[in-house]
Amino acid sequence: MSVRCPSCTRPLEFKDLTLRARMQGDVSTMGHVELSSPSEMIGRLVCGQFTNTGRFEGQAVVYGAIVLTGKSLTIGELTGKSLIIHHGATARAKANILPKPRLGPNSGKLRERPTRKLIPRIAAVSPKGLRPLA
Amino acid sequence: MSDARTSKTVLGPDCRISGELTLDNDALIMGQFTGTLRVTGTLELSESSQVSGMIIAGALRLAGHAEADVVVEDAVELLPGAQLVGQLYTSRLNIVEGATFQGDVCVGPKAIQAAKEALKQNDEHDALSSLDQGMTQPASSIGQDQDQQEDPAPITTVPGSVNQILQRRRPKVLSARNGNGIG
Repeated sequence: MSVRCPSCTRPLEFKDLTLRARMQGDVSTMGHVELSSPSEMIGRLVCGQFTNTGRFEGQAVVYGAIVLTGKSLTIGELTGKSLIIHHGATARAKANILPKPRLGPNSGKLRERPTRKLIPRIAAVSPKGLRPLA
Repeated sequence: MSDARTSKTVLGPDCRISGELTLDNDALIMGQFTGTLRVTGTLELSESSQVSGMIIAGALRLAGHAEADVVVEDAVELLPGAQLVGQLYTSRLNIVEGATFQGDVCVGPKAIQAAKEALKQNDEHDALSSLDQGMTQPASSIGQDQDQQEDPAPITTVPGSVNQILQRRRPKVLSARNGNGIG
């Protein structure tokens, strides 16, 4: 069964993920993402629900609940609908918890990082602006 | 005789307090408060409450609106409808669905220590800003300022490290120039 986003018609994935190793990169799914105890993730995360029992460093945009269990470490930026931090967990983050997170249609789509600067092309030149070469 | 552990201080919805308030037991605030609020027990802020400034408490249950820096030793619970804007230092946090929080979170075993350091820095920053504005100084800082006046720091327009590098290079550059001029 395939489901598309009602606002941008992008196909949505609902895979649940459990990370058990060290990874660096971006993850995007509408399912439940869990970082198990020895795992470590550095990067950007977009998901439906997030449970951290390991170490997370980066930006997380969660459409549902964020749960940071004991002994977990979270550094970065958290956006979600609810946040639970258990006793013993460590979090140093900028949090944005709202009942209806202000997420645009492209929030779930991870933007590509800019690799090089694009040179703006000249669309039109007015003859008045041109001067003869000396 | 009332027991301090079971009693609770209640500030009704009609009260408005500004300044510094310290309570040695549990408290329920339903009105408006502006300033520094210290509660050793559990602080409950009802739906009608509006607090701005600083909150230091043993535990916090928030259902109202707060625009404050919060330091809580035990646990913070934001109930549905609660709105909190500011920095939050605690060891446990529960923001349920329907509550709003915007700000920085510092949670962990060393959160209280981090809060103390942040408060110290804020106090120093406030003292410096008050000196800049020419306001009255606290008695403890007068002696320090006198010491600073006796031994003023050199006025530099560039950062100290850059200045040191420039000073080191200056004789070499001058000697090189002289050498070129002679040759």
